[in-house]
Amino acid sequence: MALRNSQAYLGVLGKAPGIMRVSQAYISVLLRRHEFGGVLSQNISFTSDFEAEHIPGSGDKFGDVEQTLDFVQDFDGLNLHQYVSQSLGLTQDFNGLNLHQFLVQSLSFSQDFDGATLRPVVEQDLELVSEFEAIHVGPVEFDNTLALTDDFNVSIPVPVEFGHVMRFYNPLTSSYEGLDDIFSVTYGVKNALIEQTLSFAQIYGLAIEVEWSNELELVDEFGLPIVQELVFAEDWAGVDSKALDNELEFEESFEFTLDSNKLISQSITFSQTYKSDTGANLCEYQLPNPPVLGKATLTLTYGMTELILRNPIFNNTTRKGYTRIQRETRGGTLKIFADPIWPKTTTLIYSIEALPNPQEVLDFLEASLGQQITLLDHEDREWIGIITNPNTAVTDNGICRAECQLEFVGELV
Amino acid sequence: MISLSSPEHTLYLPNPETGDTENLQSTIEIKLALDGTRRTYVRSNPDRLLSYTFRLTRAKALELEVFIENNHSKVFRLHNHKGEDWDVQFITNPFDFVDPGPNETTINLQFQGEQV
Repeated sequence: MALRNSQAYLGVLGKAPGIMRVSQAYISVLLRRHEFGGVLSQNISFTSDFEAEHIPGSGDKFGDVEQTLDFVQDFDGLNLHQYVSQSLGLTQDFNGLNLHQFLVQSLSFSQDFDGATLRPVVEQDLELVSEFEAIHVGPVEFDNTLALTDDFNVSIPVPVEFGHVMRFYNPLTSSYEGLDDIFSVTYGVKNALIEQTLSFAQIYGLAIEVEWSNELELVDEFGLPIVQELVFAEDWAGVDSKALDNELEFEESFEFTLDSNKLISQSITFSQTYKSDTGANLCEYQLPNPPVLGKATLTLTYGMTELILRNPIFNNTTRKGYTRIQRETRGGTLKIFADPIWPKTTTLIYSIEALPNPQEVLDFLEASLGQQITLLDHEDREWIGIITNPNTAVTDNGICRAECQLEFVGELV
Repeated sequence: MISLSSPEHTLYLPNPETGDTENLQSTIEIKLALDGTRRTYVRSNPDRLLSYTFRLTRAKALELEVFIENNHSKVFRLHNHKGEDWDVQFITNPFDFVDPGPNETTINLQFQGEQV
């Protein structure tokens, strides 16, 4: 039985949800005997595509984009004597070009296999691939977290051949750097319990201008029906560093030949801490973040009154003034003194042209005369201070061609 | 390239725009006697006044702003584009950071001091 369904949703002007649920149930008990003895095939194909493009000038842009694809496949088989094949493929592609918003992409994959009284061959493959490609110019902060857990429990009452290979490929370094796990039991022991647990976590913290190479290999070989745990963890974080090589090798070998009931315990703990320091005195510069052009408007707010002006013309000035005493001795030696607590002033001088309504400027100057106002400048910085030249001339050069000059003394919020 | 070095900070600046000036700080006073004799009183001073105008990126202007904040009343070492070393102080006050274009800031700085 095959069920195919598809849904296409095209959103042109705005955000709209698209939800589709597909379920397929197949109950084999209802089949007749001779049908059950044949080949049983069950297929579900599911595709969810989402394409969004904003056409400049067409109105509001899209808001947040969320795409969720849930896929669940259950297969319950009891006392099956035939070959059982179950495969679950899940692929999630996300192509984003010129994205300026926060991007979250998560891919969860889980595969559970419970088998009781199964014979003769059990195969379980788990492949997990995470690819992330970003085209971006400029500094970018990038987090990529991959978690992979494989739990395997099997009770072996009879001799069994078992092969289990798990490989993890990371395209960031174009190599298999995650995990190789080989598990084999050639002659099982009756009523033996084999437990194997693998935990794998790799977290990258990538900062600007980092030459970065990280290789993590973990090999776990298991050849006896015995509990073995191998835990390996490596944390590496680099911030604004030069090329740095960090190699951590860890090897554990254990060979046991004689059959014995003795309790064997082996423990190895290995720890490596690496810390790099320049050794020199750190620069105490506390540089502010360079301001960038914001909304390209000046917003002056006094109480409930708000005046929005164009951004100033070039040659806007930031004047830093320091209170200090400057004297010359009789011998002509220059002496300058300033106490650090003495006041410092910052004055912003703006020339604004093409004022649409000069009367609004005059009204605002009159209303805020000598009062503290809030200024949100063209670089999205917020200042609190006073306009020091309320008698500035608002020159009307024609329709929408008025101009004025503003001087503002204040402090950054 | 020009460097400004205080005990705590060192700041590198590009060469100043052409038109930089250097002034003596010595002064004279001329007196004319009734008989017509001219006498001059000299007030000598080893200091010179240096005036440089810099054209900086916005980020470099912010660095300069921090340097000024920390050293506006201190003596610091100036290594200029002629390879000379000077122990100077800022004469300019206030400091005008003018933005003549996007990501561009100009500032005129005046230093007074003695060549090392």
